[in-house]
Amino acid sequence: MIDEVQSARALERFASNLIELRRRAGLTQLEAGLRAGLHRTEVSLLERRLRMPRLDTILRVAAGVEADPTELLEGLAWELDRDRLWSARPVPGRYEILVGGSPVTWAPDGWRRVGR
Amino acid sequence: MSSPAERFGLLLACRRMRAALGQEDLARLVGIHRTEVALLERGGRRPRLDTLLQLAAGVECEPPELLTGMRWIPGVAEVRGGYLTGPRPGRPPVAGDRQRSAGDPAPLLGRFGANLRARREALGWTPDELADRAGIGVKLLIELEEAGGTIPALGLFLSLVGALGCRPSELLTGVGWAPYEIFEGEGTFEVLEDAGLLDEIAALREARPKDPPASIRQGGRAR
Repeated sequence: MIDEVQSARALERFASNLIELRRRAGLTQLEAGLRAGLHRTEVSLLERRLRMPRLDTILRVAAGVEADPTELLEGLAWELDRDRLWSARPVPGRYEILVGGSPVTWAPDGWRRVGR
Repeated sequence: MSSPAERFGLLLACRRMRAALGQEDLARLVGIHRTEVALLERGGRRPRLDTLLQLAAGVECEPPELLTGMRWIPGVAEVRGGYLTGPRPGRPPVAGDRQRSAGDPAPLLGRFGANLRARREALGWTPDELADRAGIGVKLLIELEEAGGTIPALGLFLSLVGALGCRPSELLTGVGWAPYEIFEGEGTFEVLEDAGLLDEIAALREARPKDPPASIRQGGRAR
């Protein structure tokens, strides 16, 4: 369930960050790739948004362009639909059980004793 | 030393519990299976960029926070260049089978000397005859054929070519010069060994709010 639009936006921002940082370091794609210990076409693929990098590649590429991973991930964020968390759970307050004679209800932070 | 994926997993588990989320909750938020979250937290997966961003959003932290204490250290650069010699006489060197000898002229002289002798013997001349025609000392000629001495100067080389009546390239088959190239040694990942993080995870696990015991749930009734 990957949101394709956000995925593409993230990839685009990653690529533009990479291009900018590589230019700042004054390195060619090949040089950056060599430093990162990646195949010579990898940096080119990333800059053309043709490859979704994994954790290790992100770290390699950041070091390859002499930057911090924080700089490489600048401006990258994901909008999550937090309602999704509750959709498959019991609706808060809807379930009630009796524990030792007193009612316990479901709330977002877990089972809760009420009416004491 | 642990891998970046393992440290990522610990950071994720720590952030998830700080956000008071179970693995199941995070899985639901991000839209992946619970076993996938468990696998990530055990360091068994290298998350893709988009998954990483989703997970960071799920545990409410900045994406780079999940990448702290790990980095790639590039290998040491090494510059190589040198004379090339082909694998067999008469065959020019090709990429893949070529042999480098950075700055060491011995392989070059060896191949040149072999070419020179082959050419002379093809004409049926003795070393003296060739030396005479080229106007050089026989001792020098023998030295060249036996791959001793230094790389011949251009004038000497051309006098041999002229005396043998061949093309310059015939004496140079199988030899060449490899341009300088930069090779990168293998780099490594450096991952912080973080006892504080392990302690915090253990403490968070301990403090995790628990569901009512199964006996209580069974004893209860839904209204």
